[in-house]
Amino acid sequence: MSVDRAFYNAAERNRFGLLEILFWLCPIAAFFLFPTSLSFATHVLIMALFAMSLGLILSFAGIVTLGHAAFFGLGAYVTALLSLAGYQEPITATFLGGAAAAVLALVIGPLLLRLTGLPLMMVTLALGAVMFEAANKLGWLTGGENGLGDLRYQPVFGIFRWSIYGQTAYFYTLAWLFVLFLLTRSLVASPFGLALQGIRENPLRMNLIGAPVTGHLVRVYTISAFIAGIAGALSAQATGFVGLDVLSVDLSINALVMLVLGGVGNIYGGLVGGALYIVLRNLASDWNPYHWMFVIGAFLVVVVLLGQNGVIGIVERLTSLISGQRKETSP
Amino acid sequence: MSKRFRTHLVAGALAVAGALASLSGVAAQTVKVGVIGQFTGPYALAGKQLRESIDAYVAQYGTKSGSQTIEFVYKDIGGSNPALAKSLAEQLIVKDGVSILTGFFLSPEAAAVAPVINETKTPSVLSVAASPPLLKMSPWFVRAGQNLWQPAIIQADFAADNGKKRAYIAVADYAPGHDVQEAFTKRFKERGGEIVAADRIPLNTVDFAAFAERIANAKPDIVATFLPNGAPAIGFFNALAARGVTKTAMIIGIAETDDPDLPSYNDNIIGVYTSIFYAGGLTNPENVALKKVMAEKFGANHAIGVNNVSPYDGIRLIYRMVEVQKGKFDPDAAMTAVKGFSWNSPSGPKQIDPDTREMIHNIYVRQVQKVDGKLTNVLVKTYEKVGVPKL
Amino acid sequence: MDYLVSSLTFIAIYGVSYGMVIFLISIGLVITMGLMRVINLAHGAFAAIGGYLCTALVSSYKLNFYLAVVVATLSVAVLSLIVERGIYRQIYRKSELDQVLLTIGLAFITVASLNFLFGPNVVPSQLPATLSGTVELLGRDVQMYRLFVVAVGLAVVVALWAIFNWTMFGAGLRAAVDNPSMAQAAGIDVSRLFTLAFALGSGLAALGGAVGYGMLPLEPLYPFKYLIIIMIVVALSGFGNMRSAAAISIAVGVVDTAGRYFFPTYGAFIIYVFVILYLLAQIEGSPLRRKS
Repeated sequence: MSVDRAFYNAAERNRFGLLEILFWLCPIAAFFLFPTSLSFATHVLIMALFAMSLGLILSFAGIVTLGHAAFFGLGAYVTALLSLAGYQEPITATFLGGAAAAVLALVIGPLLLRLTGLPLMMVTLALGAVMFEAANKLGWLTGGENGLGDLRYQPVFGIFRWSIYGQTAYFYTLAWLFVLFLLTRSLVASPFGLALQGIRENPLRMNLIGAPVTGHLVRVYTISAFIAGIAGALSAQATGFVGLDVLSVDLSINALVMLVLGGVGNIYGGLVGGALYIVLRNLASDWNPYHWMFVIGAFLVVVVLLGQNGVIGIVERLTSLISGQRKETSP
Repeated sequence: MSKRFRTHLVAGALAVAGALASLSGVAAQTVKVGVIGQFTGPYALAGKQLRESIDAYVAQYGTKSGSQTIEFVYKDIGGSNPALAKSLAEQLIVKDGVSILTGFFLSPEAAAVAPVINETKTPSVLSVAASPPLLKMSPWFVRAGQNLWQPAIIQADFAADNGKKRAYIAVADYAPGHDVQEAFTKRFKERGGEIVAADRIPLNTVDFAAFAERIANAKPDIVATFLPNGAPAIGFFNALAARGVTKTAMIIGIAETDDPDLPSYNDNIIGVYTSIFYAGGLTNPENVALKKVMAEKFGANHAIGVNNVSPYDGIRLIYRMVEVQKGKFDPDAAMTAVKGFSWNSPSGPKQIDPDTREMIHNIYVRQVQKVDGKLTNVLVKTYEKVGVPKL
Repeated sequence: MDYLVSSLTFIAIYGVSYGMVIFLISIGLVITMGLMRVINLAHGAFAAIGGYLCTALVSSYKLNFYLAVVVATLSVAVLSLIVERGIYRQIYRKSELDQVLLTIGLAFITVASLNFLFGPNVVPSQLPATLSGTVELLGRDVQMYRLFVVAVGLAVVVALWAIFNWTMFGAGLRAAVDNPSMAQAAGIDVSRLFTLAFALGSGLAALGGAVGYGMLPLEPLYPFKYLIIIMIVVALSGFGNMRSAAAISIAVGVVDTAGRYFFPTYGAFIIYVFVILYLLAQIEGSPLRRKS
């Protein structure tokens, strides 16, 4: 399931296809079908958004990082601290969470993105670990292990209040997800997006034709960090709590697993994979503890060995098989 | 969100899920209890113990309390994820219609859930979470286990009672470690002791030799410690033994050498003390009965740990809450029923402090010794009716 | 002055021995990643299997510890032959991302299996009593185990050096690393070489898992817990460079031990800061290192 083969992506067509419209009807349907599971559904949306942010740099610019939780966590902590400091207007608070993450990416990106492969993975992993340890140490600011709790935000647009039934959080998150998805979708199809894919395929050649390779990479890294920061901020707002786990290495690795589960190279990969991972994980909770690890491990192995690009790849293969057969059988 | 607005919004949704709603209305004689546990991930042992305790309690006392039937609904957190704990609590209350919550292994999980239970008035029994400030976060919390200050105070008392003067504190660098450091320091100084140094050991430490060396250099006569069970505690005690500190100073921990963990240690752990609310060797009838049912259900070699006992006590509290119910679940009545409640638990006499909802109970000092060729936590001293001190 | 001397000898002895344990569990991966360019995040799984096997042999079959180490090492090497033929072979030519994912998957499966077979607790140490005794060295009592680990580490260094420089296998490997197709053309069976090298790497991991117990206790999450430190050594020592792997391992051990000894409060940061600075220093003067 190398990235090259999975190069198909829906965003290249400018108009929304039927499948895409159906896809976006799912979260709306979920609201009516599962009215009592909205806080969980919100968690699903947030993870999908986070996986999508990773997909943007991984699928379209070839940046493999093991430290993306740093941005998620920074966004979450900034939004939480704003609330505790008395700044509780939700939309700007979310935005500031994302902006803080973007600033961090802008600062570390220019140096970081000159690395590739294993060194890049190690440096991002180490940076993520430093952020985690720092948050643990700065207990006076972050609450350390105890976290920051009981965060409150004003009603969205002054009308929609936050409650444990989670309608507000759900639609608020869904709105951010959709807007950021549109941004990602147009970004990928833009000349800038094409330049990124060129860098992914052959950075040397891109450099020779005069493309600012590191500059492009820093730009997309910053945008991705912004989205990840928004996801973290939404998590702080939806749950009213921020703990050290928002910076954990597990979260970075889980995002990678989600993305692959969905499919690399497609903007829907993170969305599908993130949602699927969290839902399956929740369904699996009645199992024997380690069965889940076994299943997800086996899935990763099978996906790579069969060369299938995640769930999206499998679905595509199936649909092309079916349509192919139709062609053969039709007169 | 205003009541009316909420009703409007939910009404539309409920029209679709109408069947679901009517179902939950029928079963009025059943009280559902939501169990939020660590059933997978790095703390899965605690989740397993939680489940064992519930199974054992149900095997002993059935599922009925008073006129009502109790039904448990399990949810897994699977690691350190307080935000997920909160989302699960909401799901349990809103979707599954639970009236009581229990579980809560890590304190941040409980902290994250506090606003939810305040809004929904859901009595919640903390089966393990031991962070001191938790009970102030919600009037609906009640503690079934210990407040970390309790064992830390007894560490200091036991050291002082044995004439120790120079203490070295070595705790893991996270909030529970800090709590132990704070309580021990205060009490040991009050008792006339001196703190020669205090180290906060980073949780990512692999080789503990550097800390053993620092401790040996300071020549303390007692080392008070608190580290997470498993690899960190084992690594630390091995390093202390290798450096000879176990021979020159009293070592006193809290839960590190708990019975289920003890087989992971070598003989160099012999002599180490721990201060905690349970000792396997207790001979009260409740403990004998618990051991019997655990052995029947989980095999003769099953070792009962502290993370079995406090969840078990938590179930006792839940049965008490349900016992007083008449008809529709009344959360206020449930809380009133447990405040000041006292009973005999496998870990000795228990009482819930009516004001703070903390446990007033015995704290036992145990020492690892070799009995019949097997490492055993031997009860050395009982400190009776330990409440939560003001620090 | 006494304090300074005592501190320095402490850091020398304990830092080096800790570094040697790191070396033992990492060197196998340094070799295989150098040769095959495969990012094998399941390396720690082989170490864990070796450790568990060794412990089980001693506790259940009352085998002599040193013999158990040898049996465990060889068994894991054989096991890895099968895994290499069955699975790793398929990913040599796949992208880095694919390699990362497949090997994370294998590590997940190992964790689940170890938990299923041996339970979630740390398994008790089966190190022989002689190793917990102490000897006097540089004016202090040092546990025999520390010296044993250093001895095993040195033996591995010498053995590897001999293999790579004096045997046909080593010569073939060096050729295959430089130019696999040329080596193939010259009549070297590259695919067989890779299989053998993989078995060597995994066997070394198993050896590290078995003798490293005293510092790295065995538990189901072992494959992930020590992965970061293994990857640090691999990333810092560059692909396939054994000499620098030994130096880096010892540097990591010494830096970590000294850091925790002098600045216990900030001990958690030191190793990561070391890694970040070291790797970022590599890009100085070569602004474009993206390889195609």
